[in-house]
Amino acid sequence: MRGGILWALGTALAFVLTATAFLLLAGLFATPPERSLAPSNPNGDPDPSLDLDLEEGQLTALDDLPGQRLDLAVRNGGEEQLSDISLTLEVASENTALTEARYYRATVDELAVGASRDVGFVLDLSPPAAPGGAVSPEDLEAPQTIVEIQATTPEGVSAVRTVILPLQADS
Amino acid sequence: MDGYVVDKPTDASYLRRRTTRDFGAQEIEWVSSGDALAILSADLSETPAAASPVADGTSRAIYRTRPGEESLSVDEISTGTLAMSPLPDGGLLIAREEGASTSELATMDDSGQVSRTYLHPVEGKVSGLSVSPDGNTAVLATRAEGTEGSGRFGILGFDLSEGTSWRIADLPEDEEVFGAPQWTGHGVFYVAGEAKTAESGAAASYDVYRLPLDSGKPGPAPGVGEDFVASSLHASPDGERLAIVGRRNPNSPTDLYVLDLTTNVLQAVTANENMEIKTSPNDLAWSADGDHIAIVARGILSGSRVYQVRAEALLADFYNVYDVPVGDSG
Repeated sequence: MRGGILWALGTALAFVLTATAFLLLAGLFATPPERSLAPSNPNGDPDPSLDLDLEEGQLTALDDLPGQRLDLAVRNGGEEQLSDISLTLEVASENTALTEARYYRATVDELAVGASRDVGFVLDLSPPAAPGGAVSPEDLEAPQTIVEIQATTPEGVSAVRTVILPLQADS
Repeated sequence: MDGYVVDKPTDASYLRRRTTRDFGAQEIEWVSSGDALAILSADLSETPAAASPVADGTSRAIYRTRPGEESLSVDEISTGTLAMSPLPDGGLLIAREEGASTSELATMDDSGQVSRTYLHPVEGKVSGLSVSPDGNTAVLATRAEGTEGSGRFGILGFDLSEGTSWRIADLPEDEEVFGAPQWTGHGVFYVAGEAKTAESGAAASYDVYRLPLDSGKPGPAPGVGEDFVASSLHASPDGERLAIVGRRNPNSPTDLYVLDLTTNVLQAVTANENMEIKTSPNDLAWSADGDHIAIVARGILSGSRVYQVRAEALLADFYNVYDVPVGDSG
């Protein structure tokens, strides 16, 4: 009886030791894990006092031409009236060699608590002209268009929206 | 970056501009122990029409950045250049047009001066070249002069001490070499496949081939797998591993793989379902110690997107350089 118990214990011990050795060896020679390149999504920290409401459905109608209309609603979500809200809209190319941007501005004089005001911009979304003699790398993909809208008040309340438009066939 | 050149210290967040904008830079190598850069670019002295985007096998110019952090000026140090590769002990090996159907090789020192011109001409136009880790041998992809740019591709070896070349292999009539073949102690590796057809305009699938040093018969690279769709490859500085950008099978996403040339084990080092890795041979580089690989990628995104942050905070929407640690081969 005692011999049987000892045999069983010995067998179990041998099994545990062998399994542990295999696990250690597996860990020792394990290949490095595959890495995901995907960066974490940016987490904006929007100020609830000022909101920019952009109807995304209108973005699909935008074309890489002058005279493109973009509407947005500026909303006061805070508890105090806002005044002198300055809106700046910048149209730029993803191609960082083209540093010139197009700027558009608008102002909302006053916005009561809970109120919203529609603001429209007429944008030139045509591809920026490359300077004379410019050349592009052979594998440069069609650059996207970046539309960045910032709203600020003199009191420092602000909101931002960035729209990425896959518009340009070529620059 | 977008045709101009910047550098970024690995321990700093800022970029240092190296050239003026719209330079058309296509390939860059450090020279002069990291004090300057050699830039392969469209020849800016040509007319704008001629200085349009060019493919491998088309002559370009090499420019060298001037020392000094504030300088954006470059000096033209070579014209009619077909390809370039850094030499292990410094300087560059360059291939230049020598005639209508031949090329010549030359070495440049760190200052950009030609230190040796090899008199032995190379048949065909060099479309890509690399140098063995010991600096003794170069391996060239060449294209014979053909009608309407349809010349046949070949792989040549070039003894940099003797200045002589020998033909290692000829590719089938309808195949092209993509990028520069890589000389390793385990053979010559290269990516090749059927050339684009004018009708479809689509690139056929490319495979990784290995040419044993003692025979001229290329075969599939061991360990890669017959379903693998290759885009580009680059040998590690010690020539013991290959970094390969490609897809495990035609339905897989593009990832970065490392092939151990001793064990023939192919290891995926990235796992991406939502990232698009650039597949140009010039968008893949090893660190000097072989512990890191740099690739360029961005998110697979379609349609318009709206974010509540400034554009400068967005990462996945734009191409970025990613550092992928790969350890040592051991």
